[in-house]
Amino acid sequence: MRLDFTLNNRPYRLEAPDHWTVLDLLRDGLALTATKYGCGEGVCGTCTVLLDDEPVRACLVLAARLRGRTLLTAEGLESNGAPDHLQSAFARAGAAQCGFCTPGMLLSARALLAANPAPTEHDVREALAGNLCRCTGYTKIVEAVLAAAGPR
Amino acid sequence: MAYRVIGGSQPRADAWEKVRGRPIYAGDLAVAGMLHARIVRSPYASARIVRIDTSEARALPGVVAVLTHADVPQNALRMELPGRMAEATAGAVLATQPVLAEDRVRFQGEPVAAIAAETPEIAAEAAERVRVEYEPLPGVYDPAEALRPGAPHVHEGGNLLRAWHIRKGDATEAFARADVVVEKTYRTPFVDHVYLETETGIGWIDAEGTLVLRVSTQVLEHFRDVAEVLRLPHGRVRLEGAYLGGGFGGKEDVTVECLLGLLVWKTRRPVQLVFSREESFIGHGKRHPYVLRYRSGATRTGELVAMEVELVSDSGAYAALSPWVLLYSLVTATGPYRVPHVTVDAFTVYTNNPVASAYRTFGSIQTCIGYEGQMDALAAALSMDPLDLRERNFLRKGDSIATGQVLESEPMLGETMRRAWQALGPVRPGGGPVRVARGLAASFTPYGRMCWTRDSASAWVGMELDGTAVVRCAAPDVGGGQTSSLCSITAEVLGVPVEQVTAVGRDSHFTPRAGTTTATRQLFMSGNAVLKAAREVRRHLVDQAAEMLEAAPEDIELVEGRALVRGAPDRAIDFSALVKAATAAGRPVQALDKYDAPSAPTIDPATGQGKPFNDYTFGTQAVEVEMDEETGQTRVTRLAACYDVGQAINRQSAEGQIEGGAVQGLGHALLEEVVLEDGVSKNPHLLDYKIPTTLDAPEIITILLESGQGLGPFGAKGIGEPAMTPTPAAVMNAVSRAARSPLTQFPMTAERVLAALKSSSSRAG
Amino acid sequence: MRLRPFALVEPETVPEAVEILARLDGEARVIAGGTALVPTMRLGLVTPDRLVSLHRIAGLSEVRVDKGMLEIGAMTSLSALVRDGIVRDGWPLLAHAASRVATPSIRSSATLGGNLCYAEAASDPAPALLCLEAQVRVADSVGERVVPIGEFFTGFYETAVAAGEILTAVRVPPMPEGARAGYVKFCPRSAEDKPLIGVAALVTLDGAGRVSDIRLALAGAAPTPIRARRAEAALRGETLTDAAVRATADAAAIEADPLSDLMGSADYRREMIRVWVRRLLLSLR
Repeated sequence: MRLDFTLNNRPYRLEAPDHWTVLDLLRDGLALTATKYGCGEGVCGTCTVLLDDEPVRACLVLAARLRGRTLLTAEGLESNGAPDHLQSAFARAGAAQCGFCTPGMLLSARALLAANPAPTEHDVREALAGNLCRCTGYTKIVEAVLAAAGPR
Repeated sequence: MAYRVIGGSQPRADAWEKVRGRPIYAGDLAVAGMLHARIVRSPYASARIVRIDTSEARALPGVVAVLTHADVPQNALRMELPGRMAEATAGAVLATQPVLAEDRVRFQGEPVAAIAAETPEIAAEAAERVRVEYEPLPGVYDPAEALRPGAPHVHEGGNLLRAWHIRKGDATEAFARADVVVEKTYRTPFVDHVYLETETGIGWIDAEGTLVLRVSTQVLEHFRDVAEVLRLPHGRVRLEGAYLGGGFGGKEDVTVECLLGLLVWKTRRPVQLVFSREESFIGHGKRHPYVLRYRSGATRTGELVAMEVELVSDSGAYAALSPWVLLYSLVTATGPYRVPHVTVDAFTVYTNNPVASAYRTFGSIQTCIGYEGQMDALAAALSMDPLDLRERNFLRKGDSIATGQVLESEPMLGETMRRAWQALGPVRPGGGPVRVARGLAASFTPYGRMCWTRDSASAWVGMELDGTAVVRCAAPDVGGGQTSSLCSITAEVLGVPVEQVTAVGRDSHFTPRAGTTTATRQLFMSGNAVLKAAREVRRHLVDQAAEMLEAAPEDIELVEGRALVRGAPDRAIDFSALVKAATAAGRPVQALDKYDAPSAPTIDPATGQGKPFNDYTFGTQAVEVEMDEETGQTRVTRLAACYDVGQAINRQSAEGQIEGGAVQGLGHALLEEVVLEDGVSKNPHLLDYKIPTTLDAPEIITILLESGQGLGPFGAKGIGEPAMTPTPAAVMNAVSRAARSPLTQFPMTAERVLAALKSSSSRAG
Repeated sequence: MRLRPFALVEPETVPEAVEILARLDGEARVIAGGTALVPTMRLGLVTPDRLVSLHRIAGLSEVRVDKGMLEIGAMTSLSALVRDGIVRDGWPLLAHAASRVATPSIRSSATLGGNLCYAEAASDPAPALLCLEAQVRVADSVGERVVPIGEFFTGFYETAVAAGEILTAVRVPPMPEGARAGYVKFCPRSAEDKPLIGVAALVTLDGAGRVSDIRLALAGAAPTPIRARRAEAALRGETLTDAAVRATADAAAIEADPLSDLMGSADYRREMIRVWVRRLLLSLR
């Protein structure tokens, strides 16, 4: 099937098999590997991307759903090679250890801050409850999101 | 001690790549013409293979190879340790495990066939067309059952894989003299690592005919296993270590390496192998279930007089690292306490359950549950404060552990305990159905490998003509800052700004070998190797600068990319000029060095006496829990951890290890269990194997003590595994206090807690 | 991990969708948000050769009020439902229950229709809709029929939607004047989970404080989401005293017919129904 969509602020036109998910399209169709395979069940959150600004599980959404829509992956966060505010906050706070959950975390956090620019710690934990991390214990991830939300 | 870089809290060298989602993991590289692999695995835990028919699979268009045992040149992975451990194990080769099963399968998930096809879809379809005829065989699924006469044998020679013993003093006699004796049994389940990145690798044959495998692995030395399996000279196989998306010991054994190598070698094409999450659950080694029987005796005033411990671990279907995990349990069985009379009998037993092997703390977490459960039970029996009882018995410098090894530095246990406990803050009352209670666990965990392995690590440090520094060291990075620490050490010694130190790759051929990223050894070993090499480079730079600046070497300082004369900062030269001049003068600006850990003979097999490890990390965790007495649901609301880390290399990193280890431990305590029915997993999915989320993780307070007494660079100790050791025990003690009933079985699910609450209230009458 | 290949059909109208399903006669499955279907496909539990996706059908994601009845298009995402001002103001019980499903990145894709058609006993929206005495619209090749929610769940993962039919909308009558309502989701494992059990309650009191209308629905208590009618009968006409609430909770526990699984035993589920029915009703006092 043919798909026309916007990805990381650029227009794309691609052919993809019917049975591909957004995750297949990103990793195997476009070599954009920041979005990860972690479970295929929609539980771990390492495949989280923003579809029309809402967080979705790329491993569960069929590629066909991209038609005419806007997708943002972790590769699209930086501009002109410079990490964005949230990415910098993560790096500075030590919120990435193995880093595998980090792209999904960043996108869930971005969606949270867009809807709620001044979240409480509980708001942050609730918004990120669908992004599992095995390395950090979440402490520095939460700190990073609160720091990014703080006074600029 | 004031350092420029060491001990600070700065973003790790790899942090920026990770927040940008750069393709640094094994699965992020695709090669043109790459085939996709799929493994066919046994659905049975115990069966004879009658017949394997691959004809239908091979006939499918797009299938390039369907391999079985007959295609494996040497179908045996050998479990052995180099060095003198072979002597201690009554035979160099402890056990073998086939790469692809031949006539028998011994656990659910055992690989039977390996497929490579043009697309993942074709590989999946081919897997369904491999016809394997199995004849189920009686299996054994409990270690106690497996030790009974007449139990089905998992392997020739019976189901007892290994036993270790400690005999110190005369425990039987001492118990007779004890004023109080407490006896309890603790049980822990199979637990999964659940790293977010499943087992992944890609392989190809390079221009020189070398088999190259880029793998998510903690052990680059597996190139040897691949070479042996393929009957290739070791030099013909190279393992390139990608950054891991988590390891925790689950990627310590061979996972994808041999299967991948086999497929690449047979097809002569690049091949990618990624385990599905379900496959990861079923296909890699788990944490050993233990039954821990403890008997502890003390005097009326709270001095421990004797401990008798029996440990039985379930090795699952193959040996893997079970004997060594058991040995760590043996050494840590009695805890960080002075106990004059000790008997420990430890056994690891084959069953047809999943293979159990390395998992963070490597057998120390289960014993902590035992020895810390006992301390709380003794305190209750003596009507003594649990902290006072511990303080009275904590090991001090000059005391010996149960193996007779004398501690050469101060463990600081009392301080770790008091500070962790105090950090919980004022006691919060419960209300309504919510009970609030606290508990703690003190612990000790070895860092560095067993002494008789004669462990070593090498590293190369060099200066480039632009004044920047390069580190070459094959230390796999599991996400714990392994690479970043080497950059920090180099920056500290050479005075190069840390962002101008590059760690170049980690692989089994082109970077000096540093050994495994396991056993909390990497900072200790590769850190010391880098320290040695960097100091040698420093000497050369200082000598060159002294000559050029006309000063004595002892007056030269290397700071922020410049060499200068102390007290006369205008007499300086920048590193680029310095390195160019040194090079022109024929003076070396690089060094390759090797660090050898102190070694010792193996411990006595009958009595366990000797020096098993060079050093230990001591620490305490204290937790507060909230328990709903009507549902049994329990949350950890606050956790405080205090460790002597020797010297933090990067404070943020050390805290991160403790925070992560504690939450992983919390999962073990309350949530995690591989549920098996006759060896078959009922929950190989994240939908039914739950790990802690942001909402399950508590507020965590970390307190780092820095004694400078570690054997690592700058007096550092290791923290990776010790970070997790005491958590399940601390949670157990808090939960038991809240329930007013001892819980001794893990995980302490809400349903189990409710049962304990009900039994305690019916006892109270 | 790739899904097993299938052909995707993307009809643009309901009649087109229904016609395709009738023609394929059970060989195809319907996909809405995919959050329930795709994991089962990935595990090989279902292996459809064709999927009929509803996402291009216009008008299936609207939320509006029609003569006082809330009309929710079947393809409305749970996140859109939670955000919708009409639902939050007029049917807060439903908005709250929908907000408890999984996590934001599941709710953005999961649809109300998909959730109902998957027919898990442990669904969060289902007990809320049972309390609200909703109806569902089902379209087939002949036309459309309306099925009361109480008749919609016919068995373990089974609904009144037959092969060749699709659920097109959920209709919810206005909440009774002065009613108090709540939904509680109990997750004893990690905080991010399906409910072990869920309880939804809607209570209306008369002038004397007696229960004139009581609707109690349970998730995870039986093969399907259920109304606990015997428990309701125990409370009707009573005041919300501790004793009356306790008796109602006991009745609900007895009425329940839960199963044992990895999340918990049947006995534990029963006990939790007792605890949470009591707690929810007390909170509505």
